[in-house]
Amino acid sequence: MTIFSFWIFDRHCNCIYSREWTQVLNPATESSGTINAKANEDNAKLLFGVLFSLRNIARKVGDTPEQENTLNSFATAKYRAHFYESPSGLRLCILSDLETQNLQTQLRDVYSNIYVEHIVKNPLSPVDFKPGSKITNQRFIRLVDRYLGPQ
Amino acid sequence: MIQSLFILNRSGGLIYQHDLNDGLNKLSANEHLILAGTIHGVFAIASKLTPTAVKVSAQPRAQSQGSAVNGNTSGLKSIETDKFSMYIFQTLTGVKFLLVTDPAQGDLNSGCDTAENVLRKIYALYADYVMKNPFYEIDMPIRVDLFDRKIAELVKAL
Repeated sequence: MTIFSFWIFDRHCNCIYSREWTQVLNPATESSGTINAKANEDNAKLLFGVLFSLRNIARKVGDTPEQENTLNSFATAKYRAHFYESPSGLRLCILSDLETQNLQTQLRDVYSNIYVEHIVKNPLSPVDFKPGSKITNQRFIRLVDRYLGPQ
Repeated sequence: MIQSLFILNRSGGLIYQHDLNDGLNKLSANEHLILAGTIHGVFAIASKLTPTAVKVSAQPRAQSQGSAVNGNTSGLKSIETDKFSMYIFQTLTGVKFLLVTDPAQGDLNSGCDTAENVLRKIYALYADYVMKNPFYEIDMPIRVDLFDRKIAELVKAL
């Protein structure tokens, strides 16, 4: 099971956190990959667009009067993307390899145990992130890394 | 269980839509066109999002036999939601076949292979009954009774 990257989009569709893991460890920082480096790039917007469109299709085709349909994941021949949307409109996404089948519980865990605990309940963290601003809370970053990052 | 089948031409236009079961919402003709166009766009974007780590190293997962006819090596392949799954098969000429089924049970990769086998059979029917029909104009909506019937037969036999 390999996780390539992790993304958070807020309810205004901005990417507020991105984390990419690489196989090579950077000795200077004791960690690998990049944090919040890709958020302003086109990739974040493309990913958001794909998730948004597919979620709309899922809801249009699969909604029933009793229950909303939710998008769980999509896959290409090379990677799989897992998607979770919180009731408040926060969207979390993980890109992983194809062997990883279902990360819904992990995404929900990251949301309820890490995001809610350290961003929502943190009085110093803004309620709404301004366009361009990112999650820089070190504790949040560390916990996400420990939970999702390579062991 | 197979819910419906879409066929898209090379430019993302919907040329065939067939509801085979009625487990999902009925869409209007306009919504079908929007769905087809969206999938066509997302298909291309999804391959651009391939993580750099996979681009350099990993080989794509070993594909089931006969994958030579599948022109889809990096684009969108499957979508899983709570209520349905959607599988996409692209031929070497760029025609896309979309299969909407009940949600996949168990291993997602083997579900994808099963769907691909069905789609390959549908592709064979398309080649036999649409492309070989002298009255069919390429890239235009498919209105061939025999094709409709053969698709229904194929799905019933599964």
